[in-house]
Amino acid sequence: MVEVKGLVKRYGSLTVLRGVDVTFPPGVTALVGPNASGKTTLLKSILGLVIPQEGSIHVMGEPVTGHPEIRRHVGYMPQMVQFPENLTLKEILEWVQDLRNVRVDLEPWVSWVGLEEFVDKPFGYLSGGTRQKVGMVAALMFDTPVLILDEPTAGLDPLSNTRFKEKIREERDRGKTIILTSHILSELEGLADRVVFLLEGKIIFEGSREALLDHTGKPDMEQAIAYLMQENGSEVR
Amino acid sequence: MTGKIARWVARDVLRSIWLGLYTFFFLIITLSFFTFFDDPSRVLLSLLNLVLMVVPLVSMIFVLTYLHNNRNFIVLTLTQPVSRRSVFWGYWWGLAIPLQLALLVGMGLPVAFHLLAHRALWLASVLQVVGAMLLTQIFLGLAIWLSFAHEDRLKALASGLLVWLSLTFLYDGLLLVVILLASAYPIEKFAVGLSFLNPLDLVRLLLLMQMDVAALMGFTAEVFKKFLGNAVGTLAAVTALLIWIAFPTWMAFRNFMKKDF
Ligand SMILES: Nc1ncnc2c1ncn2[C@@H]1O[C@H](COP(=O)(O)OP(=O)(O)O)[C@@H](O)[C@H]1O
Ligand SMILES: [Mg+2]
Repeated sequence: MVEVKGLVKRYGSLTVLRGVDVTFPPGVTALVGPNASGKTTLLKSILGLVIPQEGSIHVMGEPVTGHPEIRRHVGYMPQMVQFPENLTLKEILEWVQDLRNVRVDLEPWVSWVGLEEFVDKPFGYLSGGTRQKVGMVAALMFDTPVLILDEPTAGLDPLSNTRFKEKIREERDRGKTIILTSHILSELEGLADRVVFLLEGKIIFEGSREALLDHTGKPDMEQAIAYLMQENGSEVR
Repeated sequence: MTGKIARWVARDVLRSIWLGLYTFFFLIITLSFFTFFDDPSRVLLSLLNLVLMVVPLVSMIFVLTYLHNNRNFIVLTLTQPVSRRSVFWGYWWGLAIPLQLALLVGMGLPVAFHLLAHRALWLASVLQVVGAMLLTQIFLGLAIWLSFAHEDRLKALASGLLVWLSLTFLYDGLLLVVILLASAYPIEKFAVGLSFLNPLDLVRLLLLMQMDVAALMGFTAEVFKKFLGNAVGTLAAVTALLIWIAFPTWMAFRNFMKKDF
């Protein structure tokens, strides 16, 4: 569970979040909105990467600001995944475990993403899609109650994509709070239970998938979101 | 936690091919200077000129490149349950230790072996290595500061090169102009004051004050010695160099603690 209240974030003179109130309950929530609407900024505020001017954020009931240890509840996969070049896959995952003071059996995770043969290879050798998979493992392996995934499926091959979605549904059924963004709405279609629509730093819609379809009278999420964007005077991107 | 992060960063950096080349470069150069020059003060002076040129440039470029190549991973590190403080100091130490090791192996070892055999100019020799280490630390601090002050990789690199150019070449030119323009006035004290603004100059002074090669000493070193005396002059230069390490590091730290990543 993640609760955001009255969040205001300015970068210099640019106001990106203008008083955001939103709750992410257990289940899969799709955070959608056009480019530069503030999606990443909202996620980064939850993670403490960005320091908001006003408002409060609670993760599992604990305040985020000034409490780095709260992030033990959160697994995060960034949009751009990157790891130190001269370390091996195994060493990198050990580094992340060290940061959490948690030991996890790596073997099942490595075979889940099919990277057994790369375990002792320097990371510099691995391709973009492979990095993405390692990023996924680093986010999922700690079995955290909250998962924040920024554009997780971009660059994944179809097989990994299917496996990933299976995993996300599995984790949802185990009661986790999962926040996803994607610029390809059809990616989230079969995955999201709830939708949060952010436009120019304001929440325009927050509710279940059914409520969104009802509210807009459209047959699927993609069309519903397009409709909301037009309604609010924004170009569809 | 700082120690854990530093160990991992150092492990990654120590495997860098560039660091290996840097170490090897100094090893070859230092050994060949000792082989080809009979006069130990010749060796030290040649080494000094090389250190003043290469150590700041390599430290600056190496750290800027490393931090920018690893920026997304540093951000990932910050999303783990660790404080910003430990991430900052983890990277500071993790980069400093390998760079210092490279100097100790590449330059420190040959100098130490030579000292064991000859004992000539031992204080100057030690100061040579210490000076190079201080410069490394100064330019590491500057690079970390610049790296996190710029989102754009090219801008960070450009500003790093600009800082290096100013301290390496521009400063000497300006000093010359000032001295020429003000030749009618007693500017010796002023020149001493100015050298505190340039860590490269301070390292040069530090070394030249120990070597009684008047002809080679240069204007400021002579003045420095005259005004401050050997012991006080050395102490003043070392203190100024330590401030040169502390100030950019402190600025970098402050910026890092409140930055939006
Ligand atoms: N660190 C930053 N400094 C200044 N401006 C930023 C920063 N991060 C994002 N922005 C700006 O904030 C706005 C929202 O960006 P972002 O949250 O990334 O949107 P989204 O993820 O919805 O595309 C954009 O105009 C972007 O340029
Ligand atoms: Mg984004």
